[in-house]
Order: sequence, then C-alpha cells, then structure tokens
Amino acid sequence: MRSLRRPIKRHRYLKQATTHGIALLCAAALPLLAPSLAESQTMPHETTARIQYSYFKEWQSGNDDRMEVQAPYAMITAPLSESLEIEAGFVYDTLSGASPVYHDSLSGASRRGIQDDRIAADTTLTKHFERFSISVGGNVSSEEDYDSQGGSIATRIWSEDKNTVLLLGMNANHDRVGSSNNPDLDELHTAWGWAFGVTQVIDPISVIQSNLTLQVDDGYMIDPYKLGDNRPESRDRFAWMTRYVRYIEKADASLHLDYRFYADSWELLSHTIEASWYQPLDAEEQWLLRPRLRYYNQSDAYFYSDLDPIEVQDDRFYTADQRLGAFGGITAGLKLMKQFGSGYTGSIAYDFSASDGDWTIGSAGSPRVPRLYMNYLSLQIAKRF
Amino acid sequence: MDKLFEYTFSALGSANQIKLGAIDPAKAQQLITNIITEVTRIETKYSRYKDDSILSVINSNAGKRATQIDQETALLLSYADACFKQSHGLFDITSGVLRRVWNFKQAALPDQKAIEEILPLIGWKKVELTKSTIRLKLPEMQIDFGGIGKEYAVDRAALICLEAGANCGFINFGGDMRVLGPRSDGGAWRIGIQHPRQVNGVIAQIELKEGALATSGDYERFIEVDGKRYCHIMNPATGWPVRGAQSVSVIAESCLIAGSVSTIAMLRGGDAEFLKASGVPYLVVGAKGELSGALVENAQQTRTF
Repeated sequence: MRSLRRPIKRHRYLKQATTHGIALLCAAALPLLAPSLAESQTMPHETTARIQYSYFKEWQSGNDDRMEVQAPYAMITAPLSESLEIEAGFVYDTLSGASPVYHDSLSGASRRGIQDDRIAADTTLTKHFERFSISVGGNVSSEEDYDSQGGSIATRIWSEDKNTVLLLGMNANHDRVGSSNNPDLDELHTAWGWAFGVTQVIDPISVIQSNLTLQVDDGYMIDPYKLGDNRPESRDRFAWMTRYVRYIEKADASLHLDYRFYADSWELLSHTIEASWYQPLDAEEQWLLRPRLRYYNQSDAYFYSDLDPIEVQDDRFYTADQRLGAFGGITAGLKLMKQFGSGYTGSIAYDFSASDGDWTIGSAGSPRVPRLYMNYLSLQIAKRF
Repeated sequence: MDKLFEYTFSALGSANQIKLGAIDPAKAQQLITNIITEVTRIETKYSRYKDDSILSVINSNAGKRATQIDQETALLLSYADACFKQSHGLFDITSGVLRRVWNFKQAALPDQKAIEEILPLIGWKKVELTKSTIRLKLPEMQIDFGGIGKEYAVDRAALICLEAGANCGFINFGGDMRVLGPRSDGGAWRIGIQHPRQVNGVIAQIELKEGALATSGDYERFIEVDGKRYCHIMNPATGWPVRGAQSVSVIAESCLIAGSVSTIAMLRGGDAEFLKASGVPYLVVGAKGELSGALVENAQQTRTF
C-alpha cells in the first residue's frame, strides 16, 4: 500500500470559506485531483532494484547453543509494458548453529552440520487493468533437507475513487521433507492458502486495512531433529490482521497500529499488538525514523509437553518444540531511512526481541520455555530508475 | 538550502514557470523533469491540434459513433458537466466551435447570420456521456478543455511536487497558479494580479502561502471594433462575447476550482452574487475598472515593473 498522503493544509483565506455555492464543482474536482489518479498513470513505469542484507541471531540464557542466519537478498521490480509488471527476488540464507536450539540439547540426537544453506527465488507477474489487477507468482526454495515449490494468484479490485481496495488471493505450496540424520526420510507436505483483504481510506489522513488468511496444511510436519516429535498430519490455520494508519499533523508523523489474531486446529492461539511511528527528521523528509514496539502472546498446542521425550509412547502426538509452547514476547526496534539524490534510498533497521514462558497474559505459560533473545539487523539499498 | 530553483518553459499555449525552494538540486531537477513529462502527456492527450489526441478522436466521431474514454478523461468530462450545471449552462465545453466565425486576428465582427448557423452545434445537452464513452450527437460538434485543461495541469504538477514532499514553491502556467507551500522561511509568496488594461501593470498584490490563484479576463484575446471590446469569452446561448467585467481573480484550494469559478464569474458578467455564494476570496475588476471582492484590500497603486 502506498504511503499515506499528507493532507494539504488550507490557506488562511480559505479557513472560514463555505463553498456551498460551488459544491458541484468541488465534488467533481475531488476524484480528479486525488493523488491516486496520478499514481495510476505512472505506476508501472519505474524500475526499482533493491539489495538487502539481514543478520539474525538467537540465543538463550545459560546455553551456548545459538543460531545465526545471514541472508543477502536481491529484488527487482520492472515494467514489461504499459500495464504489465514483473517482480523477482532472490535470497541465499546461510544458517549456522543448526535448527533452533530449544530442546535439542536434551534430545541427544546427533546434530546435523553446523552449516546449512538455503537458496530461494520468487517471481510475480502483475497485469494492471483500469479497475483491477491480477498477479500470478511462483516460488522455489531449496536446502539440503527441504525443497519447496509454490504458486500464487491474487487480484486487487479498487473502487472508482480508489479509496477502497479489495484483495482476493490463493496460494499453494508443495514441499519435500528430508533429514540429514535419516537418509530414508522422504515425506511430503502441502499447503493451500486463501486471503481476503479490504483497505479503506477513511479520510485524507487515515486508512484502515483488514486481512483474513486461511491455510490448510497436509502431510509431514514433524521436526525430524527433535526426539519423539510426533505431530498431526493436518493443520488448519486462521489469521486476522487489522492495521490502522493515521497522520498526526501536530508532529508531522504517522502512527501505525496493528493487531493480529491467530488460531489453528492444533489449538494454538496468539495475539500480537504493535505500534510504530514514522517520524520525518527534516523538512524535506529525506530522513525518516521509525521506532516500533510489539507484544506477542501465545497459548500452547494441545500436544505440547514440558515433559522430556523419554516418557512418551510411540503413537501419541507430542512435541517439546518451544515454538509450540505457551509464551509471551516483546520486540523493540528502530529503523532509519534516508533518501539520497538520483533515486537512491537506504535504510538500516535493528530489532531486539525477548520471549519467555512466564510472560504470557491470560493463560499459563510453559515453564520449560526459557528466556530467549533475538537480534535482527537489516541493511538495505534501493535504486529507482 | 535557501536557493530557489526556477524553470520556465512553453507548453499548453502559454509561458510556464516552476519555482521550487528548500530542495536539493538533484531532486528539483527530477521533479521538473516529471512535471514536464506530465504536462506533455496532458497536452498530447487533450490537444485540439493533434489528430490522434483523444479530443480529436471524440470530435471526429461527432455525429457518428461513441468514443471509448479512460478514467481520467471521464473525470475531466464529468467536471465539465459540473461546470455546465453550476453555471446554468454558461460554461459549455461545446462552445469552442464559435472559433469558426470569431477570428481574433482581424478587427471585424462576424455576420449575425453566420453566428446563428453555428449556434445549433453548441450545447452540452447534445452530448451523450457515460462513465466510459462519449458521443457528440451532431456532426461538426466539438468539445475542448479550454478553461479546464491548463488549470488541471497546474494541479497535477503541484501534486507531483507535494507527493514527493516538495512543499516550498509554486507552479504558474500562464498566470494560473498553485502554491505548494510557504517560502523556506515560512513567509508568503507575493503574487501580482495582472492589470486588465495595462500590459505590464499589476492591479493587486496577493500574499499566498498555500492554495491556488486563477484569473480570467477580457484582455487575453480580443478585438476592438468601433471602440468596443469583444473578448474570447463567449456566451454559448448568443454566440457573442460576454460583457460586464474586465477580469475576475479567484483564490481556491485547487487551480481547477479557482480557474472555473473565475471563468464562470466572467461568463456571468462579473456576477458578485455568484462569487459571494461560492465562498471563495475574489477580486473583480468591473467594466469601468472598479474593484470589488474580499481581495480589494490587496489592490494597490498600479506599479509597472
């Protein structure tokens, strides 16, 4: 979604003006002078290239085992014709310290290699029509023990004044799961997803957006590196995200408030609230600072257990994966963006996150989920041509 | 960063000026390029002189078939429709056909009979407009965006700047202008209103920090016959130039509104009632040079520069 436009302040001569005598003109001029029209004229005519480097590190207290991910990412968006646009992205992840630390140290399972690489690419083709657009996309991802292919189709339909935008989307993924510990493991996992969304411009200074997503997962979802891990072969997920954006004139800034609800058939339930603030630092708005704060609260899956896997019988669903336990987490982050001349923009972002089984609200936490810390750093340079 | 970037160019049949302040040179250059691209796009799309413009296609289909129009054209036409209704039929984009009998290059009046032959070709009500098509019912009918197109281009140019965060400066296309925001020191831009009877004279000076200013006058194109002035602003019902005011200047939020309100006021002979009801600040220079409107306080001793 495009950035919120700034309201045009009224001239002092106009402050008391009542324009009932030319109400017809004012009404007819409104859609003509809406910035969105200018945008629709120029939308697909720019090529943007972006290079991003992300670094992610996770560790827990009292444990030397840590996970590090480095991910350089490149993306390009380019017009192919007046109304056709292509977007392509490419990422190469290097993961060291192996898959999340959690109970692995308890399980005694032999560890896979210290180093694991993932290579992934995705591309989306979008055709713009007068009142709607259609996007078709594909993605592939490959690592030693996991291969994934997927496709998506989505349409966006907007009202004549572009103040309302509807989104309908569908995606499917087909994954092959293996394990470097067990050469015989060769399982399938498929996922089907649906998305419905509405974006509504309320007035020139506020926008509300609401998205529903449904996903049905089938197949092998067990973590082969966790002892005793045994999960159902189906998972139905539901998520609802609502975002409210408002321009605050006094501060010349905009406020984003997000709420996300998530529930699935594994009885995992979560709430996320986030507030972020976009503050231009200079009159030309070349510098932009965005602090944000997030709280996350999750209840556990019905087969999550704080018990050690030794006690568990073969056929019962069981996991000690702390990502499926009950915990709460807080994230604080800061991002600095700068517009340079001749189409360059750059940004640097840092997020710090901490979560703990004791930090839940409204339900009991999982005592075995320890304090977990995460650092996330991202650098990005983009160029418009 | 107090340097002002100024760029002048010709387009839309007038001399145009872009002034930008508090901006780095590369960004100013980029904005100027974007504005010229946009103005050229509008001019090409709505030119009367280019055979393949959408306007020429609509006109060449007159009396025959309907022409498919895009959203932007539909919105401009629906704005023209609002102008027609708001002016009780005086602002009529089909009246340009009168150019066939009114020639402002020679000081001679057309034949009344010739005018009467043209009149049946005028009438917005003889246009079938839907959201995606337009059809001029009679052969030889024509429309043009005089009084709308240039003003629209000013607003589009201003939006390009404002969307990019450039809010210091103004856009001035042949005297129709829009201010992006105050000077970098917070002060207003001082803008002179053309004296309708003195070529290099200013009749009033307005200080603007925001908003748009447009002036419509009988001095842009006219002929004088037997001491009487006949200007290019025509009454679509009679086919004769309007009388009553030398010029009308209007301040509004958009140049589009300022321009059409000033033109409608001229068409109504400088009608103060209409201008008062419109709720916008205005300055009317009457037939004898008398001033009226909220902007009178800005009128000054004529000064030549």
